[in-house]
Amino acid sequence: MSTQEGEAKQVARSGMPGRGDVIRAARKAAFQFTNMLPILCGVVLLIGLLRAAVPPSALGTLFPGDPFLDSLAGAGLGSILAGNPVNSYVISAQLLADGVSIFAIAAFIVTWVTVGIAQLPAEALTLGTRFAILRNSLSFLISIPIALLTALFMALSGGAL
Amino acid sequence: MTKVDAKQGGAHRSTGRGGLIFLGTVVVAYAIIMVFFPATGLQALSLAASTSLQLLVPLSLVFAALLLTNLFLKPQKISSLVGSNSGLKGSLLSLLAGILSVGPAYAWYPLLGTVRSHGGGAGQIAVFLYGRAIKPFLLPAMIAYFGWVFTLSITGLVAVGALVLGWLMAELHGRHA
Repeated sequence: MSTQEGEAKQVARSGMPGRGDVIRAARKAAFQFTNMLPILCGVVLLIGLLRAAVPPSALGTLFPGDPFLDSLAGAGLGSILAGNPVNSYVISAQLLADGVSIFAIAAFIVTWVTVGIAQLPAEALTLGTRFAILRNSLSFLISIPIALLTALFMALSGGAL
Repeated sequence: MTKVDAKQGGAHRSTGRGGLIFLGTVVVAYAIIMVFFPATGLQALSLAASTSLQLLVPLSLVFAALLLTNLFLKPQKISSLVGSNSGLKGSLLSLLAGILSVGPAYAWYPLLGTVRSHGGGAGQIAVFLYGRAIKPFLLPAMIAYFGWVFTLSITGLVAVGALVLGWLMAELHGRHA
């Protein structure tokens, strides 16, 4: 028995992948990755465009003051905008200081991460159009009760709405 | 799935041509904006460049996760861990993975596509994507901005919301898949 065959049998016995397995897995990962690159580039460019087109200073005018409508507006805004979640906190803190309700803030913060209009084409291409539309729609809808309940807990603890 | 995808055991669908069409459309939109609103176009490009730099670490993690998935997780294993029949245990595992994941959601699509094609459930993938709204490393920042009550309430509600979404997706999507 050659040394190579001996090594292969030892690897098989230990349950650990051999060098060939690692190379195959790396090639497959590289293929899966490069397949997604055009979509990733498209999403990054689209997010840049949305962030440039919607300045944070213009956001405060969108909230009418009604709990339900504020939640809807916050969820809608969070669905359109994207980026690091810390940015959503900074924008929310500014909106809160400008008098926007906690309903809107909670919905905005949740949908910022969970709903992605700019990412929808990428999600549809990788996970299916039906999956992407259904998931984003349901995530949007679920953010409304989350916002209302968050505001309720705030009110129960004596906080301002 | 195309022959190439099947051969590579890769993403759920072939994203190659669709991805290029999507990228081409965005590039055309940029070209139009550059002509009519050059300042906005340049600002958008600068914002996109800064986003790209922030993606380097998450994308490296995703590549490592893809490699490890290809190496160690066989379709049957993925199916038993986070498949449509994995139950609450699978959903809780997906929620934990979503909470611990870093970077933007779209960076995780290649891995999620692979998990889906290897038997991952629609509900469990939805739970993962929703659970990403809980960011353990950012909780101190959220507390500093909005206080304890807001942070605890929204974190708990998002976790419950993720599980509800997973159940709804399994019912509505799984039934027609």
